[in-house]
This record gives sequence, C-alpha cells and structure tokens, in this order.
Amino acid sequence: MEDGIEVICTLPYLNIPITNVLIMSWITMAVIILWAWLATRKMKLVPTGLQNTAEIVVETITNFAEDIIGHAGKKFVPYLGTVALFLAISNTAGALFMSTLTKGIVGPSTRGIAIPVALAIMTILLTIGAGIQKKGIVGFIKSLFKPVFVLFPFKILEFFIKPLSLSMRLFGNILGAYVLMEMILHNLPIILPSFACLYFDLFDGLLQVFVFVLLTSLYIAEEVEEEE
Amino acid sequence: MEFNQEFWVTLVFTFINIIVLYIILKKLLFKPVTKHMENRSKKIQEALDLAEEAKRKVDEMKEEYDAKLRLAKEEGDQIIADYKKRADKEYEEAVVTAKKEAELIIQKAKQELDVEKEQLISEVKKEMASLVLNASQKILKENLDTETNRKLISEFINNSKVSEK
Repeated sequence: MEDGIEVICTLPYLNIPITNVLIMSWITMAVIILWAWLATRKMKLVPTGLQNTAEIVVETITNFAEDIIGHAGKKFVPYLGTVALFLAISNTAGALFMSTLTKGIVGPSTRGIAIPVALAIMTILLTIGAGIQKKGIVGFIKSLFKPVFVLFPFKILEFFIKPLSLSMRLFGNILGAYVLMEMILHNLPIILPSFACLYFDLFDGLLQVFVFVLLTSLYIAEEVEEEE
Repeated sequence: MEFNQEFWVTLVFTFINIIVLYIILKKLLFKPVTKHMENRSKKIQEALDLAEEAKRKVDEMKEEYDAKLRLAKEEGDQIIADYKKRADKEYEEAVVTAKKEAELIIQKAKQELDVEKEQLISEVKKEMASLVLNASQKILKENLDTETNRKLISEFINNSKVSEK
C-alpha cells in the first residue's frame, strides 16, 4: 500500500520537511483564494459569471448552517465554508490523474493523515469554544455532568472520539479511493479509470465533504442549542 | 505513515493554513457576499414596498377621482334639473301672461266695438228720423205741423226696438 507521500524539499536552516501533500494544500488554498478574489472583485446587483458561484457557495453554506445550528449558525458560516471549500478541492483533486506526473503533488491532499487530523482537532476545539462562549466556562463544565453525573467520563471521552472518527473517516475514505485509483490506473489505464474516478474521486470526495461539514455543524449545534 | 517529523510539520502547517484561509475567506468571500446579498434583498424589498405604496396611492387617487366624478355628475344632473324646472315655470308663466293679455285685448276690443255700435245706432237713429221726416213731408205736403210731426216720429223711432246685435 503506497500513499504516495514524499518529502519534496526541506526548508533550509530549520530543517523542516515539506511534503507533497502540504504543497498540494497550499495549491488548494491558492486556487480557492484566487477564485474568491475573482468572484468578489466587482460585485454587481445582478450577479454574472463567477459572482454567481460565490453567491451559490455562500448561500448554500449559510442555509445549511442555519438549518442545523439554528439562528446562531451564522457565526460559524465562515469556518464551515472554509473547511467545505478546502475539502471539496482537496478530495476531488485525484480526478486530475496527475499524481504520478507531479511527484504526487497534484492529488488529494487529504490522503495524508496529518491534514484530516488537523481539521478534526480544529473542529473539536471550535465546538468546545462555542460551548464555552454560549454557557460560560462554569456552565460548560456543569453541562458535562448534565443529564446524569455518571455520564461525565463519557462526555470527556466524546471530545476524543469525535475528532478521531471525523479524521479517520475522512482519511480512510480518501486514502482508500486514492490507492484504488492508483491500482486501477496502474493495471488498466483505459476506460475504467474514467468511471471509477467518477465514483471514488468525485462522488466519494464530495460525500466526505458533506459528511465532515454536517458532523461539524451537528457537534456545534449540540453545544450551542442546549439551553433549557 | 508513522507519526514522524513530517506528520507534525504537516499538522502544524495545516493549522496555520486553515486559519489563514479562514481569515482571508472571511474577509474576501463570506462577509462581502453576505452583505451584498442582504443589500440586494433589502433593495428588492424596498422596491417592492415602493411599488406597493405607489399602487396604493394610485388606488386612492382613483377612488378620489371617481368620487369627484360622481359628485360632478350629480351636480350636473342637479343643475340640469333645476334649469328644466325653471324653464318649465317660466314657460307656464309666459303662457299664463299671454292668455291674460289676450283676454284683455279681446275685452278691450269688445268694449270699443260696443261703443262704436252705440254711436252707430244713435247716428242711424238720427239719420232715420230725418229721412222719415223728409219722406213724410213729401207725402203729406204740409198737412202736418212740422214741429209736432218731428216729435211724433222721434218718439216712434225711440220706441221701436232696434236689435242690438
């Protein structure tokens, strides 16, 4: 099993290894920022061209967040949107079939475990932060004992299980799709990759984006909406 | 994929990446687009409100004009009716006056006629008296006293009835 992660170069003096996955995530960022800049450069009352795409993305995520989190969901739209856009580009980059040509730089960057883990940790930190902001630090600690006192250890455990399941699900799906696609491309590089790519790279990739964002907003909703 | 230096470096860089991306997208994408869309919604709402207001105003004006029109029509009808009534009255009056005048004229004419008739009768009487006298004189040839005869004849004529009409 080859995940295709290589160190492309090392930062001088500090001896920091830069992997192809990290470079791909920078490319992803650059693409997203370029798109956002172009789409919002000259906004018109009647949207045309790229402005439409920006409005669709923002409105979809806003509606999504408000549906799940409720009225407080507006605050979390930028984070959810950032994660969604980042994952959407990252996960589907495998569809470009350029892994082998570019030393694995252009490929799904979420196949390296570090990036899903980082995203999951940020999500759980945001969730805890949202809970503390909503109930205050004392209220938040009290809420850990809320339904029954006995549940306290499980609640603490949840803060580890949630990011673990989030990151492992994402990582496993994308790495699995990547490895399968590499195998298919290696053994039968005609016709089949096109169809397999539709499922593994596009469908699975976008499904994982949806699942990740949905679970993130569900966790936030759990913290924010508990007020009786 | 052991947890080596690469893992930690990528992890930390991803934290930084996502935070940077978050800040940039919030500034560049989410805030302006949300604001833009809210502005547009507001503008559309305002335009709709304005249209509604204008429509309401037009309806109000129309009602007002309708009422005015109705009032004017009523007034016109009233005026026409008044004039008709007045004209009728004047016509009646004119007819009545004309009748009266006509009657007056007729009466006057009758009176004048009467007076003339009377005069005529008296003249005729006189004429007749002299005529009869002459004739009698010729017939009797001074057999009779002129003076007494004249008296006699006058009496006769006065007593004889001359039809008035």
